[in-house]
Amino acid sequence: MSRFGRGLAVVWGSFTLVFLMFTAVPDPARQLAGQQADPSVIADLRAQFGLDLPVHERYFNLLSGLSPLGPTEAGWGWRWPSLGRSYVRPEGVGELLLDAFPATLLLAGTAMLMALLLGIPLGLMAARKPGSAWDRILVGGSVLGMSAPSFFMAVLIGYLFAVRWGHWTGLPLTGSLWDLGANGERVLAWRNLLLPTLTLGMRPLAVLAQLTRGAALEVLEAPHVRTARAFGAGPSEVIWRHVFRNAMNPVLTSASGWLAQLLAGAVFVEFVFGWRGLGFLLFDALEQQDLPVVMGGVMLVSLVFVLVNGLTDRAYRWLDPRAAEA
Amino acid sequence: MAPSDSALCWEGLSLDIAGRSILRDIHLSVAPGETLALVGESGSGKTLCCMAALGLLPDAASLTSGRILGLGQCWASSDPDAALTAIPRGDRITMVFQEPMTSLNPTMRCGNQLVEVIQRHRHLDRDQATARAQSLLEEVQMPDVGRAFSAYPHGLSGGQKQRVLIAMALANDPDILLADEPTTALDSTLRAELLDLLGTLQRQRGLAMVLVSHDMDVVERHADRVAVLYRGDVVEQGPTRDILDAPQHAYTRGLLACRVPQSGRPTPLPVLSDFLDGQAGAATSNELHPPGKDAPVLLQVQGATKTYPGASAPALNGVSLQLPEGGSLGIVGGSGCGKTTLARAILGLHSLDAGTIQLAGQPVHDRTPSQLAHIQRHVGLVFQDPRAALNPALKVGRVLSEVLVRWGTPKADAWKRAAELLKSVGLPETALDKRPDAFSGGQRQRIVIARALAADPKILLCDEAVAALDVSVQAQVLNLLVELQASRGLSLLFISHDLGVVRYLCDRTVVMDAGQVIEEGNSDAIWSTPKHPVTRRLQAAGGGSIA
Amino acid sequence: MLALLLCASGCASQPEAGLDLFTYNASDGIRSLDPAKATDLETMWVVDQLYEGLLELDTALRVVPALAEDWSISEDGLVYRFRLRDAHFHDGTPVKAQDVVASFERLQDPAEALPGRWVLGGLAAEGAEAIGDDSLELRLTAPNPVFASLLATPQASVLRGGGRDADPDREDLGTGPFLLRGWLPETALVMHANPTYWMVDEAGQPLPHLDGVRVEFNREEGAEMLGFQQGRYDFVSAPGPQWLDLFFDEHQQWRPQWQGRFDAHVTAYLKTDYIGWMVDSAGLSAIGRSPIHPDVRRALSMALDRESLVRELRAGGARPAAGFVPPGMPGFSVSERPVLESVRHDPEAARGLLAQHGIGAEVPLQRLSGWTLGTKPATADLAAALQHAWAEFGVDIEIDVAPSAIDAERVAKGQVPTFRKSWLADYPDAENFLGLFDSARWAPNGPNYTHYSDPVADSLLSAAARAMPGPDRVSILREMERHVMQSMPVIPLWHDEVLHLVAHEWSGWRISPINRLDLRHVRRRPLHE
Repeated sequence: MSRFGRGLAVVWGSFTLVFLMFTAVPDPARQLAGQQADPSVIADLRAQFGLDLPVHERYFNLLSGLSPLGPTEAGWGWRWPSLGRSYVRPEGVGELLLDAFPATLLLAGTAMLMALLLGIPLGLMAARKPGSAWDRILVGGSVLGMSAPSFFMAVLIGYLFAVRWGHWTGLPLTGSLWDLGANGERVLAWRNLLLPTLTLGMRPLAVLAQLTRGAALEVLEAPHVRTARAFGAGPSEVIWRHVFRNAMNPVLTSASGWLAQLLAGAVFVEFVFGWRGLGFLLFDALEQQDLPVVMGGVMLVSLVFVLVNGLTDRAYRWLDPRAAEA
Repeated sequence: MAPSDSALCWEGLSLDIAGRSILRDIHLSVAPGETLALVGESGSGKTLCCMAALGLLPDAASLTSGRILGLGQCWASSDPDAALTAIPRGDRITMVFQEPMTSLNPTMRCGNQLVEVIQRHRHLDRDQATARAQSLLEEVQMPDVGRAFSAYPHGLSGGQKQRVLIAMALANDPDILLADEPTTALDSTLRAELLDLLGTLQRQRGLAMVLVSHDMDVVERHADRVAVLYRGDVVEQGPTRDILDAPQHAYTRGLLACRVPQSGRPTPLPVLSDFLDGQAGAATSNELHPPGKDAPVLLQVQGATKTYPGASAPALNGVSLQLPEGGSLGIVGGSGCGKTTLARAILGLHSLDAGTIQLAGQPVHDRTPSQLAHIQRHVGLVFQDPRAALNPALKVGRVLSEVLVRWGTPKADAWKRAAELLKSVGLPETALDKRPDAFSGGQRQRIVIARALAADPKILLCDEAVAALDVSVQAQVLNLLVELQASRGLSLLFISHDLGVVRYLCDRTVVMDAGQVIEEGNSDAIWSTPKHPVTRRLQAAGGGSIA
Repeated sequence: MLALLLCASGCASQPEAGLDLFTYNASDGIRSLDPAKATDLETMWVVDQLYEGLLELDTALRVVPALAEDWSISEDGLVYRFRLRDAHFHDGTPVKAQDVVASFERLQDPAEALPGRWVLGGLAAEGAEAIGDDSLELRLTAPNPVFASLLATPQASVLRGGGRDADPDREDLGTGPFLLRGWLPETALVMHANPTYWMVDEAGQPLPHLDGVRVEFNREEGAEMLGFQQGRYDFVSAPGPQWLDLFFDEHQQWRPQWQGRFDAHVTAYLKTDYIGWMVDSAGLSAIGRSPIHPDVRRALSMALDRESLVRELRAGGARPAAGFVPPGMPGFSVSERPVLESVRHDPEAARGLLAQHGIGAEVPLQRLSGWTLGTKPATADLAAALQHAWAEFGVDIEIDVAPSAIDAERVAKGQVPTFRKSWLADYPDAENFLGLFDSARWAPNGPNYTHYSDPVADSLLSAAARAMPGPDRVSILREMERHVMQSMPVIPLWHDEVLHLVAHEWSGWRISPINRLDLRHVRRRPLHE
């Protein structure tokens, strides 16, 4: 099966799996109807969302809504695939995802960037002088960074920088990418990005630094490094020209895995810092049994994984020309 | 000679690594325009001498006495207060290493690596450096300079890579060139070419060259002076002719003696221990005992043809040969001649496009499961690299028992039979409990042979089985093979690029080139009167000046 | 490097200049601005700012005019007539009777499936009629003593054009004291004062005094409390027990460090937390249980030390139950309805009652076991406390915790024999609470989760429905409560308090037992106060 076909299968599979899971859980009609829960209101709510249809019909309806070909105002034709409306919120699922995803993308991207830009050089520098004080600090620090659970780190960092030292940093404990100004206008709130990025990026940073160090140490033993040294290359040149690219293979694998994970929405971090991204949205939707949003979110996440894996393969070929021919 | 005359000089150098004494009181020197050969086997310390000269010793190494002088400056000293000059690596002193396959950065184009070395030590812009690089590649006789320049290392053959490394070594007109077994990993026809090339370049530029080798024939051809190292000591040194004609030290004599002879078949070959322990073993036999004419044919290959998908020329083109029971057949050729493909076809690892293979009366070229089982039962395989052939995590006894049990030995008896197998290859029973890394290269090869014998096969297929071994170890393994053949009635299929070894070991030889059999017949006949130009090249490379 | 970055961000942040917005946090978030879909408190609070209806409730829970300047009821109690005041929607269009009619018709429309539909249950189909632009008549199917207070609920708000041809979920179609300026779902909502609002204060000043209101949607109570302490939020409601401990000492007084910074506004809340018991045998046997004698339930109720439960679990933010209807309800104050016997703490009597049925902690009495109490995770601590308390009396219950939505569903379907629930008044009438014992409203078709059914109770309920508002009606309802509580289908636990903590710089705070948010009179306190 081609790569495209496989990716499609993954996305479809996640769609179906989520749908099946939701058949086992009560729908939100009763919650929406409130305390007075008039049975006719509940029934009408169910009808509005098509929840009174048999399972296979609901599945088919959802699936056909995704097709880019289907009934439009002008009869049959091309149209945007629709994920439907949220059960709980007035917005459509697509709208919600489009709002949430860029925030997660930004957060994940920034965190990953931080992890790469800091982690790889730190790892390489530690590999230059294994056993030195700097190396030991790095290894110890990265073990701590890796083991600390994200929820704990989020709370700790939030407490330190936003509460304890809040006067100096001026950072809020919670906040999302967008905020409302005093006149109700949308404003970008870049400050809110700092703490979640720091928290989210910490574990990949630690892992990448360690991996880079390990891979670099291994490559340093390789014959071609010996050749470079024999031809007069200094330690910096050795590290950057001859070790770096060759050591990137495991690092890139790990980074792509991390990126995909981060893109899936780091729920803890988003939740603690109130960063309204995909993870937050999914978490919320799950609490509310908002099936269309959960499905849309999960499908988006699987799509992200598929794409990231595909891109990583591409990157391998760029980094290591041997892989290009494999 | 006086230290001031020499380009590079080791003065009373002693080296420890992690507390263990590795080199002791080394006194060596090389003059400009002269080639000094450092001869010794693995573990003698000859590579470390070169690394010490380059200043690339491991962190755990320390000089306990002596110093190294280069170009009149003190480059290294055991005296911590000595004033040292920085070693001009890549500029005035360069090195060519042993494994061309891995010595180049796999993610950089070869041309760029060469340019990098040039630019590091010269103030040339990119275009000038590129031009210089290309002219260097021409100097080292690189076929298709343009392609090689923009190719990645994996796109070049071993020989071509080594040429690139030689070009890098010469890029900045050094005064001293260290060559550590530069051709050991290459096949014999290339060896002669590259060593001759090195020699020519050296003479043209007046380099002081240190040539490290374990092979006396290489030394004879290319070195002015020889120093013999044994376990960290220089046991003998002097002009080449003197050393070779009248070796003083027992080790030197042993090294010279255990080379494969060019005529006759002394069995067993002399081994080092004969000389070092002071007992000269007497050769008991000097003749082969080929099987009679009516011996049944064990292996028959008819018109084997195979083209790899995407290749322009066939790898095998109508190859036919046969191996009678109890006989020994050598298959010789340069790299790319198809001998490896043939071996794989016989083992059932490749399918044939046309032709048949019959093993012990059964066809095996269809590669059905029963045919494959038949092959495994009857053919034992010995590889080239004993390090790669054994699982480092498994104990030897386990390795052997696995194979024994697979072929019908009841579990309870497996360990005992494994001990017997080890005994038949000359290893003690205690080896069962050890892992492969506890053994030397030669011992590991014996274990591999023992494993090959575990199924009690009729044929032993040796694919370059002795190519990676020191000459003295090679002698031991050859002795073992001869003995096994005699005691077990094994038939031998010996694949090699070394015509000399094949001549010694096998009664018949098949010479291959470009997928075809170009010559075959009695080994001695082929050796003494090679008809085909390729055979003649192989004979020249293998006889008298193997590298 | 990172530290520098953080400090730089700190220097870059400026306080909001210009508008003085009253800020608070709604931790559950709001899903829609449509008043007819407001089912939870925080949503209703926002609706309170943007919308209003024909009538509203004052702090004493009396029905007073809002958009209707005055109103009257016909002799037979079937027709209500309203005259609208001169008011405008936030976009400037004047409020017409047609808007009210359209709003009510939308609310009644089955196709809309609006959760607030029940509010107009008493209105006849097409019973709303506009008379000119400024008057309207509402025709009921039967006289309804609580209809007026139903019109004061947020669900009965008036929408521009009745909410048709617009998106009530997201647009501001109201006439309330504040208008919508911006809404970033899940992040913040900003409202500015309505410059054309009709209400004025005693001094004739136009209301509201505030420039505007900003609502944030921080999920975490911890962050909210922190924000309150730091001055980011001006008001918090009903802090959880651990926060109450932080702010108040054991005598319910402000701790020294908070003195003078915040004010606490408290009143009784029309809410009851209770343990319900399924009492219909058919339903019980469907889940494999047999009924428990009312005496046993009574005994279990008397076995509870509600004072200590309130102290431990609610940190004093609630009052022990006096009956099922909370004392804040008009007609059910402590003097009018003394604490029922069955909810007094009387362990001796409890033991005696249980012993009469052979149940007890010591031999020769037997322990009663195999009974399950269903709860959601947030109230599992209560369940554990009850389990512990009752175990001493020889009654062992199992606790079955399920996620909130599943718990609600299974109680509605009668799948658990005993459950914890709470009831929050929709309108200030005891009938709202006592409707839980109406045999015509068994769950899942109504809130009668216990499946209580008693002809006497039913007849009392219909008598109350027919009676006109007044002391006679109230005494009918009191009698009904007494009757129902004799068989104890529910064990009332406590009544929460409405507790608003407001930063001291704000005055004019209004608080009522129905816990609506009235910010119209709130203003900054002059500095000398």
